[in-house]
Amino acid sequence: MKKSSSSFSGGWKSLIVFTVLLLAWLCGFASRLFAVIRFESIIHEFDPWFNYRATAYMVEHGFYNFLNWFDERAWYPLGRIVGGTVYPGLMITSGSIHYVLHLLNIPIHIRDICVFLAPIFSGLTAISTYLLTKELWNTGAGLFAACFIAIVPGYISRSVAGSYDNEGIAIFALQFTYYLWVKSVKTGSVFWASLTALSYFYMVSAWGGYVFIINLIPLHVCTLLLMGRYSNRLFTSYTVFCILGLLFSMQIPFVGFQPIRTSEHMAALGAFILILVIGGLKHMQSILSKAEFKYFFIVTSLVAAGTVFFGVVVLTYAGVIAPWSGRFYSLWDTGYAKIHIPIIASVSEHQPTTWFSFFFDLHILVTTFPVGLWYCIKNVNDERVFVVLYALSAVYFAGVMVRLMLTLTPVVCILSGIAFSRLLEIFLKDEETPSNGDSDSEQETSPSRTLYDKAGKLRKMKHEQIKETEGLGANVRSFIIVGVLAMLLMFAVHCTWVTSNAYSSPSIVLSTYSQDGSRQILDDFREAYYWLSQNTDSDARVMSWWDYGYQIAGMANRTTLVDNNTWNNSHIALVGKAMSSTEPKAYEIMKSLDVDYVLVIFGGVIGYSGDDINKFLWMVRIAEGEHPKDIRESDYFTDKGEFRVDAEGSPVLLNCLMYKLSYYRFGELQLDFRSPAGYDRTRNVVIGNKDFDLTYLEEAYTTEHWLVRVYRVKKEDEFNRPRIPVSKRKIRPSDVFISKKTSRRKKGLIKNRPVVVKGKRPVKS
Amino acid sequence: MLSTVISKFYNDYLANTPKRLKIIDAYLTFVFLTGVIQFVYCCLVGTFPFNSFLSGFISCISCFVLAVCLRLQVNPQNKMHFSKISAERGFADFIFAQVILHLVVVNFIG
Amino acid sequence: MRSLTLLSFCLAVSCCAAASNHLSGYDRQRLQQVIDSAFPPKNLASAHYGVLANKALNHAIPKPEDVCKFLSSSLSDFTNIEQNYYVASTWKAIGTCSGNIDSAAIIKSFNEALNKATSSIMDLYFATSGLKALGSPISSQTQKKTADTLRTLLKDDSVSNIAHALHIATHLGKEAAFAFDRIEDVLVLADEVDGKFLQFESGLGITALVISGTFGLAEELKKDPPITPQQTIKFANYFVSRRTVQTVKGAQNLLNVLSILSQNSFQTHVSVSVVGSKTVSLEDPTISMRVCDLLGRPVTAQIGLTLESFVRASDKAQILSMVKFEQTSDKMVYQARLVKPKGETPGLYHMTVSVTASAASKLIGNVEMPLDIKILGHAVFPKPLLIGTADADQVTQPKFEKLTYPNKLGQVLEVDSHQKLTLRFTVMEKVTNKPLNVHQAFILLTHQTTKEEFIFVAENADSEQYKLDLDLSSKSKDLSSGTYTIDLIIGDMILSNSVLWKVADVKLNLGSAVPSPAAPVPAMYLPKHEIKHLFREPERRPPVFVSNLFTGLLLIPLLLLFIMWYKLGINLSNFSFSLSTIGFHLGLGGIFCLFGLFWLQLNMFETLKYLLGLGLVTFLSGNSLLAKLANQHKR
Repeated sequence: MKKSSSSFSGGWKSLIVFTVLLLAWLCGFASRLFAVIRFESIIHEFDPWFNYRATAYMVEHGFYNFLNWFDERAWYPLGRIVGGTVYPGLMITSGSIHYVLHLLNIPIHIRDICVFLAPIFSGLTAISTYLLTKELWNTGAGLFAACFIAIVPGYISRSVAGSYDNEGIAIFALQFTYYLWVKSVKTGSVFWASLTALSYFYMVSAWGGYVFIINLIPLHVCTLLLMGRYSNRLFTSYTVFCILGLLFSMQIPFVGFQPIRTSEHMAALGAFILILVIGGLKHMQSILSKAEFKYFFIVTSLVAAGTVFFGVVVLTYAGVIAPWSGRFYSLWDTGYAKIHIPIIASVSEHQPTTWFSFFFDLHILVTTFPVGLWYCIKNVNDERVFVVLYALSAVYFAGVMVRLMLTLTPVVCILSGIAFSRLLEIFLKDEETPSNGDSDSEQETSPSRTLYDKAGKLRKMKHEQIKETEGLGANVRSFIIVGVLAMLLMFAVHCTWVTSNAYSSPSIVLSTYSQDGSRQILDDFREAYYWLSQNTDSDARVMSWWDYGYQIAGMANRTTLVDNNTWNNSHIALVGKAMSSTEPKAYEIMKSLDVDYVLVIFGGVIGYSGDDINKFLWMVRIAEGEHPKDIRESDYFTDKGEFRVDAEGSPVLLNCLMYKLSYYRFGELQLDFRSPAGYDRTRNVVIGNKDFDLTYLEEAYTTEHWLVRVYRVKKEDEFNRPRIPVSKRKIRPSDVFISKKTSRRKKGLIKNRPVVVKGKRPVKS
Repeated sequence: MLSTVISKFYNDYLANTPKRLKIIDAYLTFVFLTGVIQFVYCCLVGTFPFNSFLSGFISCISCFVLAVCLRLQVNPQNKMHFSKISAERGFADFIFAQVILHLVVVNFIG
Repeated sequence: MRSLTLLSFCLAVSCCAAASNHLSGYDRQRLQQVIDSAFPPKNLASAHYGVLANKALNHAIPKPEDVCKFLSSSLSDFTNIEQNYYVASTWKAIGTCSGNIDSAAIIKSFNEALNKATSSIMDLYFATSGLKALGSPISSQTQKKTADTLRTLLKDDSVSNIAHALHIATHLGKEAAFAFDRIEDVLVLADEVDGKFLQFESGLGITALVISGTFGLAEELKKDPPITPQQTIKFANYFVSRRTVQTVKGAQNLLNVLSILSQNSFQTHVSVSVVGSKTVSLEDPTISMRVCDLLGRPVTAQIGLTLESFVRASDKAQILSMVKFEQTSDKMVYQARLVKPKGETPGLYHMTVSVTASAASKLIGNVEMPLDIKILGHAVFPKPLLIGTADADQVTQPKFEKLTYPNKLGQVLEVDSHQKLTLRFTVMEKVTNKPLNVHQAFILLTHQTTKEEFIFVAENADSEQYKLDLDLSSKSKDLSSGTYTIDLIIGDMILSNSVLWKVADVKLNLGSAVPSPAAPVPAMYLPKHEIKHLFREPERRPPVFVSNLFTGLLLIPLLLLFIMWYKLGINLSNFSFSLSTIGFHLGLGGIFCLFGLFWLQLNMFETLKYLLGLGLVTFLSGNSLLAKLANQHKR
């Protein structure tokens, strides 16, 4: 932007930059508030509930108690060491905001901070994206990128208000770390490298995705080395970053010694050693003569190769370096998870990405980002190599897993920003006339457009202005400009539409549109959780599929067996086995796990597709993985290999616990006059097994729309006991007298109660 | 051959290196030796309080690396690589990095 | 002795035939304990009741002098009729008191109370009883006056009022004969419980008062009391059931009323019960019965005990009738022989016993009592028991071993799954020498290692012989292989000898493996094993010497550093004592001291707070210092 600075005074320029960034921030913040406006200020989904609970715990008990927190209410009866198994960055961030605000005497509830944390950080992300892009290209591209990242759906999906999750702050940390890295590579300053390490530390504390950084940066370094672009700047920035980052990352209890033990982190250490060696060689080269150097080089390389080989062999034998973790494998082989780790494959966001979702999340940017990539490759320098690598790896990972779309989004914004900036530069700035200001003023409009979706006037005005300045080929230019602007407009509209429709549902409160267009709120989840919190013992244990573990813990404050922190596969498999067994077998399992209540999600009444029956095959698969003798997936399919719950469904399915709990008394329910009784709206069939009764459980609560059904597990003395085989009967005379009088029946009973005939006075006549 | 290389190297060093760099080199030697001793200790005795060992050892490596960086930045031969960084700026960066490094080291040492 | 047919009542059998229809020696002992609690005397009433109750039990009063002293000391206010009564009656009851009490004053106070028209019924009761106790007659004028007062008082016809009135009337002679008519009124007010007991609502005291008053007044007026024998029996049942009473007053009331019921001129209550067991046999052919009054004392009247009939339950054949019981050395116990010397068919018999007495007294109670008596037999095995094995297909005749009671078969029988185990035996009654059809005839197989038991029922094949055919092929599911002990169990309620006969050992080969002895069943009610948490063992630390050595070694490079720096000649001349210089160096030093503190005691947040301040100072001063230096260099 050196050109523009010549025509614009520095003050104006920074004012524009400031205004654009502020607007981008505001606009990004505003467009993330759909959920709050439509529903209420509430935490969304599943993981955020745990984060919220952990944050509330930290705010209440202090940071050190939080680190030592052993949560006995989760993973009953195992419990969970929370302090050592979370990334605490999120909690610390909102905790410190809370602390600072309270220091300033602003009384705000921690929940509100949690709800609005992600939108606020999206503004910070926009700024760091601006900074990064500015380092890579120029201010104009930076502003474009900032505006894109503020509203792009791929990022909004993880950062709407209420979505209080690690990713919300991690993307900021990611972008900021990259910015600082690029900055330090550019300058070679120890200061910037240290800041990079600090920012990396923040990223490590916030999200497991830090592995992406610690692999991408060494990749960048190696690529530069291969390209023969070694410099002392690279040496200083990388060595300082690597060693400090290594040390810092080990401060997070959850990460622990992983950075020097696991294969995921070895690339960084390898690159560190490599650059040290190369640095040493270069130094020698500068000192020694050529012949001497050759000799020296040979000796050193032989010694080095021998040492490295020997070291790796020894370390692998000793088992010091752990092999790649399963989740990491699933990144390389998309079929790996499905075969080996069903629990990873069962999560929809771990599925490979479809083309549709690329377009859905990125829209026009999908097409423009290769352009930016091309520009970067064409005008390559040290930091552009970085962004190229970033783009390529992110594209790959996003293709593997829907979830990693999130890492792709920022780089797409950066490169598209570059592409648009370059485009406008070419088509507006080639003239010698004051048109070079237009690229800036154009960028000014783009955020304002994003603010006011239908601000047609402003655009037209600019459009006319552009026309004025054109000379030769004006038609071509104006067509292109109009086309580009139209695309940007469509992009903004698309973003708003996607945000409002797809990503702003809290998934705890559902809404439907009735026929007259009015919106109905289905608050069944909270109804059920509130019922649990009010009507059950405070130490009651609730069994449900792991998706709902965090919500039960957070909202109902009851002990759960499994939750969204899926650290113990066999425990989950046990719950899955209970759900997919018959009632008596399930009762055995539930008894051994001390279950008091069972909670299932059933969408058949309202047609909610994310219910437990639709997830049921995953329960079966996970259970099969641990108990292949008892559970076989094929039993749950019909002969033709279909999964169906109607009369043709497999009998094993129609008699398993999950089926019974979902459809208990559903056969009596006729939803409307057109459909028969027991018609499941989600699967659009009449269920196959209508008349059954529960022996070991009893219905405790069913919410208004039958979305959540809670069952109580009967105690052994409550149900009609099944026949116990003779060999297993134990009849022992007891020496201990146990009164049969419980607290309910305190009144005693006199056995042969005497018959009293009252004496009567003779009636006196 | 090797001895000649080394002696030439040494003489070259004594003759051509500025005093500032020699001071830094002395510091480097100190850090290097400290690291070696720690490494020997860990080979002989074991790494039981692993965090303590790591913090000590990484502290050595970091100091070494930081000093090397400082040396690179101070070295007048590298002036064109570090155009914006004066020797004093390099030293200030060095101090800053040392401060945050040792904050973490102390936290980690347990 | 004229024997009279008795008043024969049809009694509810079970209630009155029970052995508990009189006070046993144990009950008397317990009552004595209750009474003893009144001594040494603490208040007048308990002393009064204690003394009277002791007299009723014919028991010496412990330390009567102390009681006398207590009485004379507590006599203070002559206007208190109740007190006066207690003192006077107790004094007289002890009888052996030395010293004197002012009996004239007491009599005067009693007479005053009687003559007063406003006296309460309690006052009248105490006054009349007190005068009676002192042996002072009541003048006819006073009698008349009292009777008038009583008549007005009787307008309140509560149970307690009438009960007391009956007692007062006893002392008023003919004047108060009107009270006698009230007896019937009050008796209908009694509550009947389970058809067995009659009682008044307010409990033992009032009930006793009513009954003693009834009989007392009847005695006085020489009229039959209007109380039926059934009612008397039910009242008596009630009183006996209250033998566990815990107060001295209650004990006295109980003893008093029971003695009245046992001994009065109208109805004499007797109790008949069986002594010992209700079984007889050839060895023990007699049955003993006890006849006594309610207090467990011999009945004073001359009585006889007759066995009316003795009938076999199975065929109603009358074995004995109208047999007199003979009195034994214990006056209350009577005996009769039921079994003829040549024996009797074992079984269940019905017996009826009745009590007779002289005409003067009417006996009531369980005077005619039906009883169920068992005559026991003796089981014998006259023929040898046959045990053997045979093929299950029934073709071959089993090969039997013969065995006489109580021997055990010498060798171990071996049976496999295609065979069956067969037993034959006969049980006879010793006296009648007839085959017995016993209630229980079982074959018990006990596995010798697992101790599992299997019981089979031997069938009574024909009238004589019992047999068991154990087809092992059909039992192989339940039984496991191994050696079993065979026991024969014979039992019946009319047998005096139950039989458990170890017959033989048998080895079953059923194809299945011989099970190992069953593991002991874990105790269900014992505490579980304590769970001890296994902590991870701390890793081995190097010896302190090695650690210290290396710490020392680390100082060497430091020394080396200083030596080298010294050799190089550090130029400190540039050091100027400006604010920034000092600030910078102090700040830096401070930061590292802070780190030391952090290591030793501070936590992270405190450290960061201090670091912020120190770092700011150091940064500012360092910035100016270095800028200055840079300027110097440029120059």
